[in-house]
Amino acid sequence: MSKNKGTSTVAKLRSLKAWLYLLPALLFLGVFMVYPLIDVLIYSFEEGYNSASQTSFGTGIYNYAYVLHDPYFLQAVKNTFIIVIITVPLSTILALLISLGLNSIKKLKEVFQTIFFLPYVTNTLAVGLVFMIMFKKTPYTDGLVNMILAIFKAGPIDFIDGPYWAKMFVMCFYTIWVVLPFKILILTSALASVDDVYYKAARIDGTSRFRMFTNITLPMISPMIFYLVITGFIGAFKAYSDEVAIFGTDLNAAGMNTIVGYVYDMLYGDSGGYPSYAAAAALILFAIVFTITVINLLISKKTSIR
Amino acid sequence: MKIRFEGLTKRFPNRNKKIKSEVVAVDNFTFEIPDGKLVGLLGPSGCGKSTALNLICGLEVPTEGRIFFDDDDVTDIPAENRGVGMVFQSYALYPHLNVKKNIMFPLQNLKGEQKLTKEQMEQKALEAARIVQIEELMDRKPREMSGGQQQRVAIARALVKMPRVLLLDEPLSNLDARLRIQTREEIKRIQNETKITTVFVTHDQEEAMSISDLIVVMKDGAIHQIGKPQDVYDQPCNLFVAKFLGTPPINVFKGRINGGELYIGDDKIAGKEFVKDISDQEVFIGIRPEGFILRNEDGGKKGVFSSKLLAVEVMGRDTSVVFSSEHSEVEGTRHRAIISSEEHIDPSSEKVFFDINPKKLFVFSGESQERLI
Repeated sequence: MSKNKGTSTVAKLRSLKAWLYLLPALLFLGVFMVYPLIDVLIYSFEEGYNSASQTSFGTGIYNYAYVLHDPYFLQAVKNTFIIVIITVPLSTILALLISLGLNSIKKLKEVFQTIFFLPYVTNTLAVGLVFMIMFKKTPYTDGLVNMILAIFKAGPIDFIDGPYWAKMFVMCFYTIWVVLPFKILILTSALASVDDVYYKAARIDGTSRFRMFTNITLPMISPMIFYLVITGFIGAFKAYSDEVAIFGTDLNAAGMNTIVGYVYDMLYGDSGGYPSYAAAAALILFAIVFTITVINLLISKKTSIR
Repeated sequence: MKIRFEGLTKRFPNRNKKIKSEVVAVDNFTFEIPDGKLVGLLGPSGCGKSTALNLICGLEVPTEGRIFFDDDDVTDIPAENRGVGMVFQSYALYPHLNVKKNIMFPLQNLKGEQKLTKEQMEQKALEAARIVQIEELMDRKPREMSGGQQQRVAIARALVKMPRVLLLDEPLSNLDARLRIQTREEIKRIQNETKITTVFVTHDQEEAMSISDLIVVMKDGAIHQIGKPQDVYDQPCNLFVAKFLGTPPINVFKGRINGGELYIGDDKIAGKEFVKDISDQEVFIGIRPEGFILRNEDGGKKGVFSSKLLAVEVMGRDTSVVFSSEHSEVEGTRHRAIISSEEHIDPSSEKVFFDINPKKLFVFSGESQERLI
């Protein structure tokens, strides 16, 4: 009995020591990650919170009701969902096709890989500016894209200040362009990691190239594809800077705001100074991203091979 | 089905691009693998045996020469149309498919008239599984099986289309020692049952000797000897083949032929009746471990060969006498003689004396290393 007690004391001391080692990390995580998260949750239920005076009128779900009835927010949600639904699958498929191409060429492979990876190390705001200039129609010039369209007897279309679908097209085009390099990098390395012996075995058995792709390549790299889809969803839901890069800071006026953009506007924009609304919007975004990610994980678990 | 090679050669560009000369992996193969036999391609690693296998199955294209299956020239036929089944060293089982789907995979590739219904495929998969005795594992994934079981699945997958030729690349190298013996018997049994001409590649001479109908000993892309395992063991054509076959390995000494007699140092190993009329020269003398006959100094019958006794290892079934000689081909070699466990040898004695069984004694030219006697 006493012996047991002795070991349990030692065990207690040991676990105490372990917690002591963890303390610095826990402190930092607590102060800078957990506390802000909880604080946002609290703000989102405090009506009319004022960060300067640290006061509020009371608590309730009014902030959520306001945000969910705000046409700007609903526009932002719609924009965000359109961007997510179009860019995530399209960019993943495009990246897969490009990676397959890169993987099958022998000469200059590294050169092409570098070229495709360059956008990743380029500043997105600068690139956004270039995109804007390419697509913008001004009184003096129709812009590069419209000049090309003119060859096919189409346009001119004002992509930056024109109709909604035109703006959305530019937005999706740009988003895909921005996220593509990273996906290509991941997928080329995933493709290269598939052991060549499987293809040899399949070849001897007379497997068609298409079947090799669908029955060997895809299942083998599926963990990486799921990884890209999940992070792609999260990234696209949190899009903001890409929109600013093309349409400027007044996204509401352009009708191209996103949820994160709305949060920013509520905090610091011209209509800003409403941290409670911002907190509520941020938590709604969190709920959306969380739900989608859980669904993604469930699907990936069901189809996973390992 | 017979497989015939005519002047088959495969050269690769050198890995090191600065070196212009090419690497010859397979050098001018001309021989025939008879129908329905189990043939072992044997050689040290890097000797081109895997390349030879890849040439047969069509994964590699020969630089020169032709390959015939019976009388069909298959040299220009792509791998998928040659009707070969191959078992890879790593088995190459698709990790995301279960055993049944792995075995059915080749069948699902069939097109046109050959196309099978799902029932036919399952039937054939089950037949193949039955041959390798894994019917009860059909729903397992490869990672849920032992190496030996994976090996069987790989063989079943190679057999399911009833190939004309079955190729096995280092089939036993990933198995542990006990499984290896079991599996090699299994391969022999499967080959006997199916009567499919089977070629396998190995660097393990014991593996090749134990199950092959015919072994092909290779080195540096060239064939050194082809024959039945026992024939190759008993009549090696050169020093390399003699050294490569047999465990424990053959004991090689530097010696000379002098006046029609064979000497290791001052010991006269054999006389005129053995040497016959070979001219005087420096030679290598190979003696199989089982070729030594223990002689005692005091018994009056002093052996023809004396050496320094290092150790006596009792195995139960037989006894290993470990000795050294100042005339070893490689200095400091620990030689091994295997004698009957009924013989008595004093481990504390300094010297040991042997007579040599002439059937286990081979003499190779000191220059070309070709066999003289």
